[in-house]
Amino acid sequence: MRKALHKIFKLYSHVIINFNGIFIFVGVLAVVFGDYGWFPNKDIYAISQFVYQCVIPILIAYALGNCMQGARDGKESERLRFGGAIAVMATAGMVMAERGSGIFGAMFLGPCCSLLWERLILPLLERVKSGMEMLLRNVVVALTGAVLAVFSFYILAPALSAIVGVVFIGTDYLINHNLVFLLNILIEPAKVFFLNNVINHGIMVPLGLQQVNEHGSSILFLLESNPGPGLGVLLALYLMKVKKRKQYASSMFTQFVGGVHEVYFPEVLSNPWLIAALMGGGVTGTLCFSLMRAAALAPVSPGSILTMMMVTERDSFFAVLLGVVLSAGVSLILGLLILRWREDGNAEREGVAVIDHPKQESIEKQSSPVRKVGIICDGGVGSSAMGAALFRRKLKEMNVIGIEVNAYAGDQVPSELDMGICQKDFRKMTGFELEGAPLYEVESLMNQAEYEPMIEEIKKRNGENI
Amino acid sequence: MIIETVKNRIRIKDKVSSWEEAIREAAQPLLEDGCIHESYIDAMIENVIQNGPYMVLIPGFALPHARPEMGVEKTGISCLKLNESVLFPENMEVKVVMALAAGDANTHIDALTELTDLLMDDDRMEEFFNSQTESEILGILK
Repeated sequence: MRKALHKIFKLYSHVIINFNGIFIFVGVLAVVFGDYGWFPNKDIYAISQFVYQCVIPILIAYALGNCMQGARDGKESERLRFGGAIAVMATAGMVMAERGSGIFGAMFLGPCCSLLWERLILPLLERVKSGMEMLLRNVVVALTGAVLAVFSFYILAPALSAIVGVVFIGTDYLINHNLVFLLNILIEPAKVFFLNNVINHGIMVPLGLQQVNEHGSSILFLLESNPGPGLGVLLALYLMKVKKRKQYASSMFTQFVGGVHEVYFPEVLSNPWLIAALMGGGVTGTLCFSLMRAAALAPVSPGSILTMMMVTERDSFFAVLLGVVLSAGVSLILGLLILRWREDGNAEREGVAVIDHPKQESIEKQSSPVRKVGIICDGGVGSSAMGAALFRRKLKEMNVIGIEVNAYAGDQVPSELDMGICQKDFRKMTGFELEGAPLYEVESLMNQAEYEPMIEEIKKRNGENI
Repeated sequence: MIIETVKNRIRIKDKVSSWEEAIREAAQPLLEDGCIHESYIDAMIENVIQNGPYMVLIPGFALPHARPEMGVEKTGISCLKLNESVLFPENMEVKVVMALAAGDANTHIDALTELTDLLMDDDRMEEFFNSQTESEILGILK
């Protein structure tokens, strides 16, 4: 379960990073042409919102629906492409029911549809005679999509709204009792599950607008949209994880200036302790806002520092800025502490894992015959392809037959592999690990002597099964 | 097989100033033939930085490459032979650099299998490292 979740979070991060350009596009258009932007323009703003609420959810649904199982060679990907199609249809139901919840819908429905396709529909289809398969497949895909779209429209979206309704009442209570800052303890974790829009547009904005009617401004607009905590966490990651610096730097820009917070959610999901850093930063910021009576005149959307400045009352300008800076600072410090602490923990655990490495692999895979061997490198086309060629040659020399050897890119290794081989530095530098099968390291992919003991082991494991 | 793709894409140089230059120089024929875009060359260099010099397959021989989506138009292999070896990261000496542009995982498998056989053949590799002319290299690859 943990492994599966980890894999999904990695996919999230992969998908979000790929669409970073689109997120920047949305953020910049919304900041510049939004209602309170420099050049308010309803039409251009509408484009950005269309992309944000419809296009991005659909893209994410397609990508996630397809990539639960990574595979490179043509045949596999042909088979896998339909999980994405189903996810798109299911997400469409969500988008039409509740615009703000599209991304959350896609994040949830994408992997679900992929699993559904992989585990249920595909195996069923494979039992059908091959002539019928094509025709049947399209019909099944369409029908499944239709059922799921209706399901998300009438059940999933309303269920989400119902939950939001309950939270709405709770929020109202906290506001009436001057405990607004406690809200961040709820907001920050909910945000990283891609519920940011649901919170902002379903809870904060309606309640905030009510306050605007009564008092002329509201602090509520500043809670979810405060880019400080996210910036702090990204900064902490930037400082601690040197290898991914470029990515974090661009994420910081998208988040802080573009106001698109989604870029840091996957990072936090794959290291959930960071939620504490977000909470700390959020609470600090909101405390600062409420103590200094900062408030905004209108919803801050997107949650960019620029939008924030544009819609705050002139006399709370400084208070807002201070609140953002403080929350970023607190999140940064907490984030650094957490990352340091987790790193120590991980190092210790990895230390143990390395020692009894072969033993800790799943016993089933350890003793069952080896049928599929994967040589893994970054691209799956060059050195690993040659490694695979050499391995095949070596198998032949040693009279071992019935084994499929293929080259794979690190992120496209199929799950049914029995044995993986990669180069030592590649594993060290990329932190690559294999799930459910032993991973062997070699000094060089072209050193045939290193393959010999592995083939000996295959012989032993396959025994008379050869 | 391999000879067909490497033919007319062989360069021989006395020396280069860095491993980066070696990769750029080796990939030049592929760029000229429209097999790759400029971005692919950067990707190969970045690949060595990010993932370590695992492309130095055996001492003296490097096969720089990157993912197809980094800018490959069509499959091709080119060759740079240096008379004086260049140092790759972690002090790996390299005299032959073959830049690989793979359009997908399958089309070039035969060429790579052939190359694997060559790499395992110490005598032929010795000849390769000492070769001075294009025709000599073509003779070894045949």
